[in-house]
Amino acid sequence: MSMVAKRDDLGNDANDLPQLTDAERQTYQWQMWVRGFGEEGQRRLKGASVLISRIGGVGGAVAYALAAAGVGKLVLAHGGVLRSDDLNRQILMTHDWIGKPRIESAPRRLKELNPRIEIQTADRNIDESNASDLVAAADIVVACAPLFEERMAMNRTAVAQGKPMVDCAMYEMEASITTILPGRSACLTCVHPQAPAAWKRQFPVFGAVAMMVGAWGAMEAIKLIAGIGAPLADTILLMDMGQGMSRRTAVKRRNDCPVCRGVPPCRLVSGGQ
Amino acid sequence: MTTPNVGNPGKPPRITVRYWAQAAIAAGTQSQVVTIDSGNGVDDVLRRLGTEHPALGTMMFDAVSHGNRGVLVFVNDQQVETGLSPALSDGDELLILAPMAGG
Repeated sequence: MSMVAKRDDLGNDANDLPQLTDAERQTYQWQMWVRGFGEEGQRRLKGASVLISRIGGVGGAVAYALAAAGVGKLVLAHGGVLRSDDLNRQILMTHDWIGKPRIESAPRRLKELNPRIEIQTADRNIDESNASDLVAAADIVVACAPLFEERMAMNRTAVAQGKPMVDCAMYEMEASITTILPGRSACLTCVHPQAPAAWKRQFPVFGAVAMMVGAWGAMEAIKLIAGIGAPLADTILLMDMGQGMSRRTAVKRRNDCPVCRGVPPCRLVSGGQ
Repeated sequence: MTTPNVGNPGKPPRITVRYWAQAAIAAGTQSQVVTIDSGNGVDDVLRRLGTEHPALGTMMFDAVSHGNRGVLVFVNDQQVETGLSPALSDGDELLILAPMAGG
C-alpha cells in the first residue's frame, strides 16, 4: 500500500506524529489495512484528541468506537448520575453503577477495552461557562447532547475555535448526522437558527439506534483526523432503521449566519494519493 | 413558475411529502401525496399541511420559532432556506424534518 505522507493546510507532515509501538501495530492491524489509512493514519489517530458530550446513548457509542480505533485522547463531559432507564442505550454504563456519576463509569469501561488512551473527564454538561475550555482541549468535537441548547453552545464554541464538529442525533428509529467544518461549511445555526420548540429532553429510542448513529459519528471523526473519505459537510444524512433506508440532504452555509459569518476556514488534513 | 404537469398533461400537479422524526408523529403519517395548484410555493403547501394536521401546524409555525419554521424543509433533498418559498413542480418531493437532538 502506498504510504505517501499527507500534509495539512499548514504544510506540516507526518514526521511530527507519534510513533506506533509493535503492540499497537498488532492491535490496529485490521484498520491499518484500510485503503488510504495505513500507518500514517493510525499515527494521526494516536496524536489526536476528541471531545464528546454527552456520553450517554450516542456519545457512549462514539467514545467506545474511538477508543477501539486508538484515538490518543478522549475528553468526555457529562453531569449527573446513572438511572435505570439509561441502561437500554448507554453502553459505557453497567447495572451496578445505578445512582453513581456516569462520568466515572466511562473511563473504566473504555480502559477495559483500550488501556493506552488518555481520558480527561468533566462531571458537568456543557454550557456557556465551560464550553471554551473543553473545546480547547480537543482537536475535534462530537455533539451528542439531548438538548439543542447544548448542541448550539458546542457549535458556537467549535466554530469560534476553528474546530470541526460532528453532530449526531436520534429519535425513535431514526437518526441524523452532519459535520461542521468552521469557515468551510454550514454550521448548526445556518441549518436551524433557533432551537425547535417541539423537542423534549426525554424521547423514544432503541439502544441499537444510538449505537448506529454513534458509529457514524466516530467514523466521521476518524475521517477528519486521518484525512480519508469525505466528511458529511453541507449534508445531513438521515437514517431510518425502521424502514431500512437512508437519504442525503443538502444544506447551505448562510452568508448572514451570526455564528460562522466571516470565520476563516478551519484546518483540515488533506488526502494523500 | 411551476412547470407544466409533463407526466400527466391536463392534470393538476402532485408532489410527495415525506415526514421525518416528530413531524411524522404530528402529521400522523410518514408520507402523503398532495395535489397542488400551479404556482404554489413551499409555504403555501406548508400552511395547507398545517391546517390539515394541526399538531404539525403548531410545530411548524409556533410563535416561539420567531417566524422561522420550526422544522427543516427540503425540496428534492435541497434545504429551503428560511424566508424563501420556491415554487413547486409536479413530481417534486417535499421533506419535512423535525430536527432531532436525541443523544
